[in-house]
Amino acid sequence: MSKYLEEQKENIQRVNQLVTDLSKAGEVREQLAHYKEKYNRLIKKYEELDSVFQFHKRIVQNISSGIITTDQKGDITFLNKSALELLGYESREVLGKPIHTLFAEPQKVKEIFQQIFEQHKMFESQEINLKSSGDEIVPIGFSTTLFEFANGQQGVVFIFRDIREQINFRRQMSRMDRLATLGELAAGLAHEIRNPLGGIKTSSEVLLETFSPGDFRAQLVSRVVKEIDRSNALLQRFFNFAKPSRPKPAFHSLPNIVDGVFLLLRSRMLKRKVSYKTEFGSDSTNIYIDESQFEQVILNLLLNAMDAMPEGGHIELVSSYEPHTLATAGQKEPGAILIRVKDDGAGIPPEKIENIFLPFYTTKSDGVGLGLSICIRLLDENAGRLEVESELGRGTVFTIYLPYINQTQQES
Amino acid sequence: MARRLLIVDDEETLTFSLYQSFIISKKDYEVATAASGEEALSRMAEKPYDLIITDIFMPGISGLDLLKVVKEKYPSTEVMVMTAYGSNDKKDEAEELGACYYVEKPFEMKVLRQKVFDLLG
Repeated sequence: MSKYLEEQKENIQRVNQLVTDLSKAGEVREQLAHYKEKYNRLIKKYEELDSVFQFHKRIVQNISSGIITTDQKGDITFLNKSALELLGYESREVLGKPIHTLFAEPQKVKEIFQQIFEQHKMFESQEINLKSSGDEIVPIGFSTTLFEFANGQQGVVFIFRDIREQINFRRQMSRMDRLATLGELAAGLAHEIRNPLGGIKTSSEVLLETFSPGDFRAQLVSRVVKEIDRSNALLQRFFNFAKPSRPKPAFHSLPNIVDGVFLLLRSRMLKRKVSYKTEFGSDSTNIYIDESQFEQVILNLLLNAMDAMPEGGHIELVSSYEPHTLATAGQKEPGAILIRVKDDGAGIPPEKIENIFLPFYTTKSDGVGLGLSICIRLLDENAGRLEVESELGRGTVFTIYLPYINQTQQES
Repeated sequence: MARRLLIVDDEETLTFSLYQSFIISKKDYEVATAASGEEALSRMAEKPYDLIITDIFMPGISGLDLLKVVKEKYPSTEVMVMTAYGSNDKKDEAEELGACYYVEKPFEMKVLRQKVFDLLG
């Protein structure tokens, strides 16, 4: 478009020159003013068209959605900036190549394009995986439009968005749904069991008072009481994740809480040859949470990290402020504090990674499998979430996302 | 005059054992039991009680509803609440309604009994 306009402009300039030359001869002097005016109008028109063209070009280039266009064979004719950034390619590396080469499932994309061209089908809000230049799989949501270009040829406009964040949120939601269902079940069951336990315990205690302390019957009954307490402690843990008490959030110092938990674990860490390092980024030390619930989360994550390193190792806890990140899907204004707990332990196999969030899932002989369930439950109560990344043999990173809340704004 | 105490719970093992715990304490208490909130109210209509110890979840009216009615109709009667439901929300609610003690089942009988001794003498 721009090139065409440039040529037109040059033509006009040539005509104008000719007219000027002729005018010297004095034959068309009276028409000169008329031509001059026409010339100026055309130049103005050109500038207007060019500014509209530049405007549209800027929109297409800078829109946050990725845009790829193809010709009627499905070969790439254009990619905008967002598309190139997401894919990690330079324009020249992919122009002219079949579009399906950019995807993790090329066959599926071939079929999609076949349907577009043969049945004139349009795709709206579909999901598929891109494969970036670094072989990273990037889930996207996309829509397609069949297009007829000025030269009469058909092509496709493929518009897409990175939906990694949405998928994370969706996964988080389904974890929470699962927990809620199991939690209610566990809470109901725990309630039904604690009622008879109450009767058994009080009966035993009354009975115990009727025996002299040395009586073997007193010893037996006191064991009954002890076993009831043990069962109840287990039920209490069910309650904690089934229905955590309503959080009482306030502003707290993240370093203080973290130091407190490390102090609690110090002797155990020494014994297990686990060292640790903390690093708190600026703007990430003042968090708005329920202190004891958050302590529980940090404690569970650190205990897990230690368990992942039976031969000893190193734990890193690093916090940072991310102004453009959402802690949860429901957060109104972006801004999150991220707290990453990293170990260099065994790591989690990819096929097991989703299981770790299942209540009662455990690989430890002495574990109940509720630690992480409690963590995600408590973080949910505190408007946060938990993410995990793990590499087998290298270690695991748990990342806590908390909403960033500005204390001075909050107070005013 | 003997202090009067009413234990309310649909869990019979609990009402019976708690009743026994006061009997063996040899305190001069008159202890009665009721299996529901409704039964408790009809007993209270017959004669006044100094203290009610009630469960929360029972068929019919709940322990918290019972607490509300008692505080309206018999303001001088104290109420203790016990529950197998482990949540601070219920505790806050019970305390707001005027319960003088809240305990989760299974509790330490001696601790509860001491609370009663402290209250009734």
